[in-house]
Amino acid sequence: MKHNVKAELRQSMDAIHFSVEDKERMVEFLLSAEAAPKKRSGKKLLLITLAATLVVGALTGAAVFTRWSRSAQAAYNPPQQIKEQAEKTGLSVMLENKTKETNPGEVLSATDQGITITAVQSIVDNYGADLFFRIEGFTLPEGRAPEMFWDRDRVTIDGSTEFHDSMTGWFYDGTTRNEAGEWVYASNGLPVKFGNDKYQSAIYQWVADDGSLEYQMAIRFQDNGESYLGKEFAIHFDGIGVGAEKGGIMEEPLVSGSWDLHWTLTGADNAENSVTITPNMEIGDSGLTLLEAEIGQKTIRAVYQSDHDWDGWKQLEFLSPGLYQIRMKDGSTVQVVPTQEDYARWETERICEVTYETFDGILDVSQLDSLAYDKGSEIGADGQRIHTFDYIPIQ
Amino acid sequence: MDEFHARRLVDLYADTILRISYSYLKQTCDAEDICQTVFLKYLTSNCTFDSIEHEKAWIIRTTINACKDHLKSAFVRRTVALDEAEAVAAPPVPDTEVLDALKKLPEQYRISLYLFYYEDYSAKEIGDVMGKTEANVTQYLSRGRRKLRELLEAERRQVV
Repeated sequence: MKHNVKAELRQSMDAIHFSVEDKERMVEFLLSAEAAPKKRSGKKLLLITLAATLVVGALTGAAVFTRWSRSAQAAYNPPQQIKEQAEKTGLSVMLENKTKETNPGEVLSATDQGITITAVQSIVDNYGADLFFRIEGFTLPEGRAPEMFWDRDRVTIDGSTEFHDSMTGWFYDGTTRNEAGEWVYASNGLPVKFGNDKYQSAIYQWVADDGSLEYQMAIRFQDNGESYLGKEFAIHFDGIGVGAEKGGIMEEPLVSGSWDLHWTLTGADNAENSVTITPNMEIGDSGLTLLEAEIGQKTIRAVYQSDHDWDGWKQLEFLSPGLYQIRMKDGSTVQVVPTQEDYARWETERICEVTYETFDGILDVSQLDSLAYDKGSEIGADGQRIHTFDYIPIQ
Repeated sequence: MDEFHARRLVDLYADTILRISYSYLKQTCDAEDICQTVFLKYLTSNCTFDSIEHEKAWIIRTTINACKDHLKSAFVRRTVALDEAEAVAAPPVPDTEVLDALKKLPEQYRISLYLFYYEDYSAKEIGDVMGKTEANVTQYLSRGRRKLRELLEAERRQVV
């Protein structure tokens, strides 16, 4: 059964109107307004304005394009220009640079049991938040991986726990991928070493030179049309310890305590910091058509329609061909990974909506060239894997 | 302002201001305050209007800004005193599925859908009054329509 939303909306709105008496009162107000000071009917409000704002965006005042957190730097390896853009659009906020004078009421650092946890940086858009914390004062036992302890019921936005589709965290391990794709230590670019234990575990560099560790949380918001920007994020940590040893069962809190942090979550509004295209173009000869795509600095959303039936998604296969990377006007590329595929409209319309995230860069949305879909790969003469792509231009 | 022009202003725009206030604030309690704010600005502004369309666009834009200011003041409010003697009843809102669903959408989607479906504004015109690009508005309308449809279908499936 079809519903005429326009007609229903018009009918409902038609029923919202001032009464004759209301309008008479307004006419009297207008006639007296020029002779008298402002006069309001209804409530009197005594306001105390604060410097706080509901509007999302970067911090006002002189922007300081500072060193990013170790994990964000290693993950995105952003050149200075990208850092500047990310901070100007509000995608990245260096939380540790916020001052109590301009942000009263926020708690960005907490100390208990001799350990200080500080919120260092946030990278946030409409779809998710990556939060970076520094931990100081904790001594990590030799050969063990650190673990953070917190309860999902103690992570809230505006007091609600119902904001995320997924939420996870991990400690920065000091490693990254170099331009050749090799796994190296971020501190010196040398290849990651492996131990002599029976598991030949990788040897990580959890602890920075200053003795601190860094913890990252990745939150993906519920796709309910609600914006979480400008709302208060709060988290309670209740322990720091070590992860389960190989062959072991339980992670173990070594220090129990109470660390409460909260601040206004700001970020980049994708409506203002993205490019939207509606190409309605088939990807190569795959039978999959890209209907529309929103390409933001960090999150890409695309809507596809297939010309044939396919139920691989029921076996958790990924839609093919997959978006592999974004090509920029200067020829450089930023790889993406799919984080969510929505097949709610597949049965009726063969439509799938896919969300991707960049994983080795942040996009300059003014320099986008094309979406590169993976056609396949082969090993080249130099032993490196070579991918070929079908391109959809971004105009 | 003489009575003729005061009535013209109220007859032409009071209900529009009310409906935009409702779309933005999801309630009508403060609509009369918003209306008075907008009319006061109209009286004190130096704007001249080329046409009635130009005037209406100004009214809509000013109403949206007044709603935003109202939300900010509500957010940071520390003390509120009600003047009981002057309290007026808020205009009633019909209990319909579409308004219920509309209230669940983010404010930018609500305003865009209202201006598009009710005021018959184009995406460009909506962008002009909201201070957004046409592309932004197209996105708001597209997403808002989809969400509205999903909410209405979900509601109706439950009823069935």
